[in-house]
Amino acid sequence: MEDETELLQNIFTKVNSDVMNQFLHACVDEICGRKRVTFQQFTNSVEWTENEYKIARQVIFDLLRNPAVLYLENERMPHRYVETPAELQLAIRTCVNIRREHLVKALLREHSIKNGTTLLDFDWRLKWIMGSSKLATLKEPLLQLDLIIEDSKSQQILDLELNRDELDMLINALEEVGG
Amino acid sequence: MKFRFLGDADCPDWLLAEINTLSRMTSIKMKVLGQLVAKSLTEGTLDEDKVKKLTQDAKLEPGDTKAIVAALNLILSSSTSHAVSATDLSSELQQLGLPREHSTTLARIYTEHSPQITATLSAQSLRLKRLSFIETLENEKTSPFVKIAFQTSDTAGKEETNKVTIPKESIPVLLAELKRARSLMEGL
Repeated sequence: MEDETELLQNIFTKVNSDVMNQFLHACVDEICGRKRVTFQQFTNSVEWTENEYKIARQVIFDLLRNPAVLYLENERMPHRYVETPAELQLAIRTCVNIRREHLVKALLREHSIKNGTTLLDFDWRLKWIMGSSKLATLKEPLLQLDLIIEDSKSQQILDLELNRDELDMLINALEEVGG
Repeated sequence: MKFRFLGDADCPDWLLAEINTLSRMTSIKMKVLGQLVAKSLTEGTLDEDKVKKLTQDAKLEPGDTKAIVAALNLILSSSTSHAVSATDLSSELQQLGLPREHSTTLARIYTEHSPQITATLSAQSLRLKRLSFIETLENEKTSPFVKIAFQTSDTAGKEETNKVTIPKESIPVLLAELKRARSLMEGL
C-alpha cells in the first residue's frame, strides 16, 4: 500500500499542471467514447515510461469512472483519490466540475449497455423504389433507418426500411414518449 | 411477338398450350376458376376443393388442372405487375387464341382484382426489415432512458423483436430527423 502511494506520488509529480489538465480531459474524452488517449500524445511533455503512463491512465480512469467522484464532496471520495497528491486532487476536481455532464452521460450509457441493448447513434437515407421483381412500377419512397445499437457483447446495426405509414407509426410512438 | 401483359416479352410455349386448354372450358367455369385464382393471389391459399369440383365437371386431368391454375396465376399476376389496361389484356389474350368471351371475362376479373393484387405484390417486394409494431416498454419519469420494443418482419415473414434502450435526451434529435425525412418523402 505504502509503495503504491509512493509510486503514484512519483508518477504524478513528474507532470506539470497544464499537462495534467490535458491528460485528464483526454481521459474524459475517451470515457465519453471519443478519441483514445495514447502514450505518444504525452511522450514529449512528460518524462513517463510507457509503464508509468499505463499506471497513471488506469488510476485516472478508475477515478473518473467512479460515480462517487462525481459528487465532488470530500467525504464521498474513494480512498484512491485521497491517496493522490494534493495538486492532482485539485486538477481532478476542476476537470470533473467542467466535464461532469459529459461524464454522467457516459456513465449512464455504460450502465445502460451493461443492462441491455442501447441506442448509440442513428443514420438515415431516403430511397426511391422504382420497381421490384414482383411489381414493375412501384414508385414508392422508403426510408432506410440504421439504428446503431450496442449491448454487452457487441455493437450492431438495426436496419429498418420504412414506408410512409411505418414512419408515421415510429414518429407517433416517439412523440408519445418524449416529444 | 411481344405482349404487354408479359412485360413486353414473348409468350412462353406452355402458356400458349394452356390457353388452348382454357378455351375448351366454358367461359362461365373459367370465370369461377379465375376468381378463385385471383383470390388465392391476395389471400395466399387456393380453395382446392372448389377447383377440383370445377375441373372434374369440365373433365380435366389433375395435371391439366394444375397447369391452367398456373396459367391463370401468371396472366393475372404478370398483368398486374406490368400494369396493363384491361382492354390491352383482353385483346392480347385473343391474339394468343383465347376466345373473345373468355378474354373479356378474364379482363373483367383482372379489373376487379388488380388493386388487391397490386397491394399484395407490393407487400411481397423485397425489403429489408419492415417495422410491424412498436411498443414502449418502460418510460419512468425519473429515468433518463426509455425502453422501446421494435417488432420487425422481413419479406420471408420472419418476425423479430428488438428491445432498445434509448436515452431520453437523444429522442428530440431523432424525432426532428425523422420528421425531416417524412417531409422529404411527402415532397416526392
